This record gives sequence, C-alpha cells and structure tokens, in this order.
Amino acid sequence: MKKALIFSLLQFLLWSAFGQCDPHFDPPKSSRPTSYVMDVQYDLAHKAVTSVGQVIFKNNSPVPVTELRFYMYLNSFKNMSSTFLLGSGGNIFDQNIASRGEDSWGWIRVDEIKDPSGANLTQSMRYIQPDDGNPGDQSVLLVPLAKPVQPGETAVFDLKFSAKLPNTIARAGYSKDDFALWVHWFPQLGVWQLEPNGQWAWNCHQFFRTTEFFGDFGTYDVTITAPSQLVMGASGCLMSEEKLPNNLTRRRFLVEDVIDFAWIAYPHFLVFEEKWQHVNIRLLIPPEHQMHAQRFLTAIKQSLEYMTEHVGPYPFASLTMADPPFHGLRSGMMEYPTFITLGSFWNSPRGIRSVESLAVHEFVHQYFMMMLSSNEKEQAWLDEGFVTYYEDRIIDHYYGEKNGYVDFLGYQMGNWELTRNEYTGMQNPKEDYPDHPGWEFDDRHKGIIYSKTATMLRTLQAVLGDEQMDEMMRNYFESWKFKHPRGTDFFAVANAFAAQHPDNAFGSNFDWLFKGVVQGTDVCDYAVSQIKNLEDYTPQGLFDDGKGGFVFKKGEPTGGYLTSVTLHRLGELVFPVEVEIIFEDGAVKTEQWDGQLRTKVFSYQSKFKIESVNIDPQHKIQLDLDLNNNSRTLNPETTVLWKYTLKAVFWMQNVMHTVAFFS
Amino acid sequence: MLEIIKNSFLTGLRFWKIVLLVYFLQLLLAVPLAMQVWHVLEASIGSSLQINKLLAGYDHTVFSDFLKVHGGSITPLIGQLRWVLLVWALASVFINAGVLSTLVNKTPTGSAFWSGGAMYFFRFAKIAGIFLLLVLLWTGVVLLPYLGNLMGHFETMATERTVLGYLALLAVGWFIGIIYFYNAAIIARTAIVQYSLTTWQALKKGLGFNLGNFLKTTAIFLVFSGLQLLALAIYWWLEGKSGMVSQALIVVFFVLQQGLVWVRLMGRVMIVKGVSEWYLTKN
Repeated sequence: MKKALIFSLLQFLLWSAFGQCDPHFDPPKSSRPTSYVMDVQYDLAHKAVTSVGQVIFKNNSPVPVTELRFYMYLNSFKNMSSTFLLGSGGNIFDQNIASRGEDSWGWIRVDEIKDPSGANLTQSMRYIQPDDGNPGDQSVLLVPLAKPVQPGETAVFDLKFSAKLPNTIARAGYSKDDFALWVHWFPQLGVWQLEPNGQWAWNCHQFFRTTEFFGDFGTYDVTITAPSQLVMGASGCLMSEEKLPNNLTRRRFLVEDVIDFAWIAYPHFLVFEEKWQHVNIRLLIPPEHQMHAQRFLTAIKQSLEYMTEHVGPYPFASLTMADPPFHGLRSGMMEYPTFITLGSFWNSPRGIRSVESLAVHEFVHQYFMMMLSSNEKEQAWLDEGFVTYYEDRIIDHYYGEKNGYVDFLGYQMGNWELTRNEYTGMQNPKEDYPDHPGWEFDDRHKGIIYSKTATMLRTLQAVLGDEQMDEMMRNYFESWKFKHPRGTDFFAVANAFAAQHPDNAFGSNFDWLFKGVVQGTDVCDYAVSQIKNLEDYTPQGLFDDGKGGFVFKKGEPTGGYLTSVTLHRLGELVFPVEVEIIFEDGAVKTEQWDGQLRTKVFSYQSKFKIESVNIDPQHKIQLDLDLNNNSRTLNPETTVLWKYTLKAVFWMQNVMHTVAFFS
Repeated sequence: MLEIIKNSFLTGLRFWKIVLLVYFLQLLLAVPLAMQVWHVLEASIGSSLQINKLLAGYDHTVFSDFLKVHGGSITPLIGQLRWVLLVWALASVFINAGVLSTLVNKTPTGSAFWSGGAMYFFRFAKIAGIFLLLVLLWTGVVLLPYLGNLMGHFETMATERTVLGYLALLAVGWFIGIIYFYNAAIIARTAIVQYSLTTWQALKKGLGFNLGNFLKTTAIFLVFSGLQLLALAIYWWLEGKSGMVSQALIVVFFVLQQGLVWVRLMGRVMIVKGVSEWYLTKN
C-alpha cells in the first residue's frame, strides 16, 4: 500500500514536471493488435541504433497466424537495387543517388527474434517481395513462426535489432550538425486484416517511391539513451529523463493507440511549448527559423480548434512539431502519430502562408491516417485528399478565402483556389483517377490524389451545405476512428447519410459521384454557348376565314421577344445545376437543370431581352474544369479589357527599357 | 562631382524633346502588341461574367481557368514579343548613338539625333555586342558557379542564411561589375563621338578610364538609377494602395505608368550625360 502510494506520488510529480502529459487511454481507443517496447542506444557518431525489446502481437482474427511480416523500410536506402530507389530513377529531390559514399547509406537488421517459448526464429526469417518480385529489395521481412498465434492469443516476441540512418534521401535520415530524423526505423509489423477477397492476411507492402505507410494500432514504450546535448522530440509523452554518466541522457517516451512511433534529434533546436486545452504542444525549431515559431503554433491551435468543432476531438495529450534546419528539409513536411515535421525558410514573408498551410496539412493527418488509419499505400486519396480538403477549409477560414495562401505585394490567392487549380489545371485531368495503389502512379499524382479528391469533397460541401457536410464527416470519423477504413467504408457512410437526407441535391445515393470521380476519370464542364433575342411577331400566314376560305395575316411586332439560352454539358459528370437568367429589366429567372442531356435550351416569350445567363452562379460545382464558360452576357464589360491592355503596354515598355540597357 | 550630377539632371530635362522621341518610338512598338491582349481577352473570356472579378484585382481562379483553356492564344504573342525585342535592341543601338551624339555635341534637335544615330550606328553596335559579351562572361564567372550548385550549398552550410548571405554578396559584386562595364561602354561611345577613335581604341579607353574613375562614374550611375527606383517604388506603393479598380483609376494609373516610363528614359539620358561629361572634363 505504502509502495503504491509512493509510486502514485512519484508518477504525479513526474507528469507535473513534464507539463502533465498523460498518454494513457482507459479504456483503450483501439484494439491494440501490435505494441512495442524498445530500449534504444543511440550511436550519434555513426547515426546508428541498437535496440532490445519486445513486439507484442494480439491476434484479433478468427484464424491462426503462422508468420509475421515486418516493414524494414530503412533497407530501401541500403543500395540502389531497392524498389524505392529503382522507382526514383536514381534521382530524388535533385540528388544523384549514385554518387553516394559508403557512409551515406542506411540499413536495418533483425539481430535476434525469439517467440514466447524462447525459440529462436532468426535463422528462418527471410526477405520477401510480395509486390514486384524484385530480389534486390529488402523492405519486407517474413518470419515463419514455430508455433502459430491462435485466435484471441497475445504473443510476446523478444526482438533485438540494429539500424543505421542514411544521409537523408527522403524522410528518414541525417544531415549536417547531427540533425537526424528517425522514422520507420524499427522492424514494424504490417497489418493483419481481412482483405477484400475475404481472406485474413498480412497487409505489408514493399516501400515504393510513391507510397508512404500503413501500420496497426498499439502502444509504444520507447526508451532512448543518447548524448545529452541532443534536443529530442518524439511521438507521445516524455515520461522520464535521466542523466547518465559519459554525457548521456536516458529518455522514456510513451504513447498509446497509435500506428507508429517517430523521433528526431538535433543539438541546436530551440523549444517552444504551449498548451491548447488538454494538448501539450511542443515545437522544435532551429534558431534561424524562430521568427516562424508563433506562426506554426497559431496555425496548430487554429487547426485543433477547427477539427474539434467540425470533425471530432483530438484525444492525444501531446503534439510535437519539428521544423528541420534547411539542410535537413528532405526530412520535413511529413506526418507521424502525434508528431509532425514541418519546413520553412529563413525570413519567408508573412504574406506567403506556406508555413501555416504546411503545419495545418500535417496536423490534419492526425485525423486522416493516424486515427482514421486508412491504407496510404493502397488508397492514398483517403488521407491526402481529405487532409487537403480540410487544409483548405482551415486556411481559408482563418486567413481569408481569396487571400488565405498568398497575400503579398498586391497578389492574392486562396488555399482552396490553389488546390482546385492543381486538379483543373492539369494538362489532362482525365489521365488518372484517385482510387488505386500508390505504386501504380508516377510522380505527377498530386493533382489526382490530393486535389481531385479535395475538389470533390468541396463540391459535396457546397451542394449539401456546411452543416450537412460536417454531419456526414463526423459520422465517418465516429464510425471509423482507431480502425482501418477503406474507400468503400467512406462510400457507405456517405450513402447512409444521403439516404437519411434524400432531399439533398445529389439524391439518395452518391455512388454515381464516387464512381465518376474517385474510381473513374469523368470530368465536369458546363458551358453557355448562346443567348438569343428575336423580335416576337404575331403569327403570319394563311388562316381560316370561317367561310371555307383563307385569309392572309401579316405578322406584326408584339413589342416583345422570343428569347432563349443554349447550355451544354461538355463533361461526362452529370450534376443537377441551377441556372440564373437575367433580363434587361433586371428580372432574374432561376431554372433547375438536371444536366442529363448534353444540350439544354431554355426559351421564353418576354417583354425584355435576356442580358446574361449564369450556370451554377454560386460556383458550387467546383469540379467544373472551366468556370469562365459558365456564364455569358450580351453587354460585356470592357473596362477590364482596357485595364489589362494598358498594363500590357506598361510592362512591355519596361521590358524594352531593360533590353535597351544591354544595347 | 555634384556640379556634374546637377548639370546632367538639368541637361536631361533640357533634352525632353529627344526623350519624347524615344518614348514615342517605344510606345509605337509596344501598343500594337498590347492591343492583341485586348483581342485575346475579348475573344476568350470577354463575354463571361467572371471577367468582372478582374476589375477589383487579381483573381486566381479566373486567371488559371483562362490560362488553362486559352493559354495557347497567348503563345503567339510571346513569339511576337521576342521579335519586337530584337528589333528594339537594334533600334536602341541607333537611339543610343543619336542620344549620345546630341548630348556630346550639345545639340538637342531631332535632326542631330537622326544623323548622329545613322553616323555611329555600326560602331555603337560593335560596342553593344562587346558589352553584352562582357556581361555574359562576368555572369558566367561570378554568378553561375555558385548558382549552379545552390542546392549543394544549402546542404553543406549550417543555415540557409549563410548561403543567402554569400548570394547577396555575389549579387552585389556582379552588379558592381555590370555598372563598371556599362559606364565603360558609355565612355567608349563618347570617345568615338568626341575623338573619332576606332572601336578598339575607344573600348580600351573606356575600360581604362573607368578603372581609374570607378567610384565617380558608379556614383553617377547610382544617383540616377536611384531616381528611377524611387519612382518605381512610389508607383508600386500607389498600385498597392489602390490599383486600377475603376474606369477613373485606370486612366489615372495609365498616366502614372507612362510618367514612370518617362522618368526611366530620362534617368538613362542623365546617366549617359553624367558619365560622358565626367570623362570629357577629365580629358
């Protein structure tokens, strides 16, 4: 009893000392199939670690598990035969990979693995290549089990491993001055799950250039012994920090119900700490970027507030952000559970909000990928597209819809405008569709996976209304948080919502939209082609005179007009749209067009001519590839034409003046 | 020195007719090209209600949709601009010859301008060619080696601030070199007009004299370039404050724009006058 009291008191003091960061969830948020205990020794000079610990696997399936599959992603940076580097064509972020020396490569190795009975499984393990058969790839390790893990059974495996970071190629790695980002640095189990074919299997793909990560939920209890001069950040809460001889410090981090664990170390980081409700926000930033610290912190607090209000609460006690020094930028701009890496440039102007936009994007991944843990490799649109959608909403909400991303030297651009243009501005928006595995895409996938998906969600929001959209997304979040939703699960939630709200403009089922946009290459483009105003006449011709003969009547002007507008649907997507027709006297007629036919003509007999017509005047259908052709007027405004013509004169004169300097 | 700067300023003002002539020549080439912008806009999105959004300022959605669908109609204009600039580069050689001969001979008349331009065109063209070559060489020696490995520098330096610092230093060095070559070219041209030297003699003279008088000629250059920059800054400030957002403001800003072009042309005449006068007073 006395011991328990002392222990509780110590624990309380410890939490107080570290900002009361409590990582525990009781009851657990997830089923925690995979958990890890790791005691890590960091060899700073060689950027290498050795670890002793356990992997705890709980078989939640109804079938025995006869093998384990581990991600060994650091081996993707071991040599140029890896699938990752083959896919890069020998050049990533302008780096010539082939010119690297011996110390620049990274690797990971299981030194020993034993099952719960003590049987050593090390000898029977082997690398496999389930996706491309490339024998040079060592990013997936298969460990046959001496004794299967039975349904409902929890098995604890003793695991010793060693790993070394590469000089950063992408994400994990080191750069100058002992900067190092440790991500996907330990043998991590894949996801044992029911596949769409009805079979239970390991979902454990190789590491490709165009894919990221997919892990299962669990707890991470990680103790890292490292040189004391390093400032460190990691997933979860810092539970203890103990000085050791030889200038070493032993830090213990704990986090629960997450899919991964990452950490970062750099001796020059400055630390900024703030609290938002229950969340301990910790920012690690190099001194030369500290002018951005408040921008990052504000953006994160805004994101927490917005996502809590519109999607659901952020349950974790901590959020650590690390802005790498510029030489470590290849480690930046990524998301890990309760830990994100940023990216910034010395003194970048406040009017260019890439700093805020990036922080918001990576934070929103805490929802889409960390809590709603979809398979990033197979269906990247489920996290990247959704994250981009909320990034746009948050930035535009707090910084302005037309100037949220750029408001600099008179030039303005909204975050949302940028996203839409990444999709609609593609040379060929029909070149691909979002819903297929990442490794099947080439490098130009952002416009499809991120932006097309976000544009679809934006269109849904505009048509359904903000409140209904929020309700639908909350349903999705609540139904699938701390699980692994697939695209079909999102479709099911959306369709259930549509069925409950059959009065919405898109009907009681959204499958047509998802099939066309997410699983197909359909595009949307509405256009006005013609406005006609013909003088109206009384009927002319031969008419019965009532005596068996005819009488000729000449048509006389009625003083009115036969008016019409011709509209076209140029794309395959069929959206019901609103059409606004404005007459010369200012009268407005609003028509509904179901969009079914390729061409639609609205005709009227009117006292006044039609002046203009506008399809979807509020621009709800953001998927429309060209919003300029949605409207037409017979009285165009020429002031703007003069404005840009005169500007062109001015800039041409300036260019000529510059040329004359060199003559 | 101050006397020369003051004199150059006043001479520039006195030569307003020559500047006006150059201004109209420039406008003559710019307007036909710019008018095509009118027609492209009118034919593409001129009838769309969306175009009205561009009056208030830049609208990314309207612009990006325009460029995506009608970007191809802009391409021929860029092709034409290339040719216009080439013609203007040649015309500028003629104009430089005309302006310098009137300045040196102190005869601000149209006929002196035309005859001076014709008389010195070919020799000035050689000077311009050599000046351009020197600029390219200087850029290749000073800037390109560093810029060529910029990403490498970002990785090897502790912070990007250091890289930017070096870059700023190099840019200043590069710019000083450009000023040196530019002023040397003015002196060489002056020597041709005043002393009828051959091109090579004049170039040698220009480079040598400017080396010994570098600070003075650079000061003249910076004073009158500063005048142009100040005018440009004021214009940007006004544009940032208001811009062409109504019919009346479009007229006002066009007048301001043309005023700025005028100031820039005037500023160049003043630099030429100042540097050549410095050379002539020292010889």
